[in-house]
Amino acid sequence: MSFSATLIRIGDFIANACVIIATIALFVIVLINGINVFSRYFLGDAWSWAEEAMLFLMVLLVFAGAATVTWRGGHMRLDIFIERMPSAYRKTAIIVTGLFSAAILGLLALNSFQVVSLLFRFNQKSAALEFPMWIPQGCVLAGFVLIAFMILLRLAAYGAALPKPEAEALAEHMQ
Amino acid sequence: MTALVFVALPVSLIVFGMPIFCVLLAATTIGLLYTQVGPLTAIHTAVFGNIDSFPLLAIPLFIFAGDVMSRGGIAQRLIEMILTVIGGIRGSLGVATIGSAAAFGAMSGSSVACVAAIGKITIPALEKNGYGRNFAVSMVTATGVIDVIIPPSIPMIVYAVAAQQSVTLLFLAGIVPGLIIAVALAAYVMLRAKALGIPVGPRPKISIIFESIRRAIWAIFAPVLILGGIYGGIFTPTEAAGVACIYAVLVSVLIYRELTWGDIWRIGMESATLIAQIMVLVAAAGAYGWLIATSGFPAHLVSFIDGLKLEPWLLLLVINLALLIVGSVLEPPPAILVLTPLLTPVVAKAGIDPIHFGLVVTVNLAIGLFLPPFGLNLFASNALFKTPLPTLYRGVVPFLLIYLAVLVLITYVPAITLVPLDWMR
Repeated sequence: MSFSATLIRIGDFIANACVIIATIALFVIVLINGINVFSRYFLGDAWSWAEEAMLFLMVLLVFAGAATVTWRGGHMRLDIFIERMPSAYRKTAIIVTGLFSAAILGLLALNSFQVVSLLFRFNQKSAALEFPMWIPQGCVLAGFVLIAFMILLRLAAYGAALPKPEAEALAEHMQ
Repeated sequence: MTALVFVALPVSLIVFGMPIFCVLLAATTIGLLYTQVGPLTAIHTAVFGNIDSFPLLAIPLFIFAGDVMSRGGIAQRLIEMILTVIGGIRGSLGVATIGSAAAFGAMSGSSVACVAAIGKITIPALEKNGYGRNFAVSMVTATGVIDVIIPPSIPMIVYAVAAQQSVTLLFLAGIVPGLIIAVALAAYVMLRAKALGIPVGPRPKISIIFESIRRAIWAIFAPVLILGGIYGGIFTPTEAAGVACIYAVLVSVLIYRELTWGDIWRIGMESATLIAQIMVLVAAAGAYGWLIATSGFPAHLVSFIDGLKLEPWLLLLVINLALLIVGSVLEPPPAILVLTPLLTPVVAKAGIDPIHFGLVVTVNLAIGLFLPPFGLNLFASNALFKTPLPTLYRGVVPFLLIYLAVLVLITYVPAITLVPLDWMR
């Protein structure tokens, strides 16, 4: 198996694992919301912690899903100019913006680590759920790290290949 | 130098194809290092704080509900029912297509989903009835964006959060503009049908109408549940979105039996990636918006525009033109997230109602979705229906003119958006 094929397998594995986590988070949000609405209107009682739980799950859903979207090259971007660039300029732009994105995310991850470790040290908990705040905030840190890693992995596996145009990908998704 | 950091840097990074959420994070990081208004750890706090918002939770839920409804038979039955009911008038099939787009808009918030769902069913029928394929595809491409204007609308939720306005009030403000656009489009289609000599079809029998309504009764109840729940004060928009998800899943799996639990899982996986795509942008834009607000840049912008002594109508005209251009190259959520922190202080100073302005922004960006040459829906229709882009560019022009006329009306007659709010306030 070639080096790039191995990288693609690693990327696919992480992307699939992340999208499974994101989907489970989505379904749990739907369930909590549904049960909470039902119990409020029909049983006259509601979970006070439901809102916090759903929001923390949304943070998990967003950053896990974002890692998958990064690997699949699906983030929203303006590709009309870059698609029309001469090949050499386009490749340079893709590699430079990719490395720049990873560097920025790396820098933000270092700063996120400070925040998360502070929350861990002080054992700060959420108001209603009394859930350790370093866990949902840690999802942001993990997200920055994973997205930066996926950008670099994608560059290493696919080089400067452009992802599928957004409209085409959306049309395929709808069909 | 400040304008270079806050405007020129993000614009140039966007032009070079960098993912927009990375552009926003890069601009925030560099802006923070330049202005020194806070530590870099503030970006983490802003990113987390911006997703940790209950109104925003409606976005993932509406996306999932819309995906299930468009594939689980709910959207299809609703469209088929409208096609049956609107018969016996000239251009009835065209009018039904527009009605279907409006009804689809009341359940979902995705314009491309609307084009795909409506187009698959109506384009072959429109073609068969003599409208011509190019006209049919152009009509579906243009009417699909009504989905962004008729609530529940994802761009409206994004605007509400970015401008700190009520989602419910924005949804309410969107009803009349959406209906005006639908009526104007329907009038044009009827005139066009007359010009093409399309015969008036037979009026459907009452029994057939009742049968189609019976078949679609669960589908009809979906928009009633969502919008009735919100406007009736029973649910918040987020709760309504969650209820819509459960309703869509139960109807599609247990009543219509068009989806299995495995299909629901697969749709959930696809929705999750679409949600992440939008919400990571919202998170990054939150940090960018925070920096812009903290740096005092909007105040400089306000005093600069104040110095130009522009009348409100001229200011709105300039903003409309800028939004149309931005909307043709950027999708509504990123465009709203980038521009709202800059524009809302400017329009507030000019005395323009923020809810009214939200509708102006939404309609502009909706038009941008099919504005040649770069509108996203044009490329989506090109990929979905294999109609060449130059044909689509020509075909959407009459629809574009109608939308622009309604945009002028909405912009300069605020009562169209604001009067329904008095019922709620």
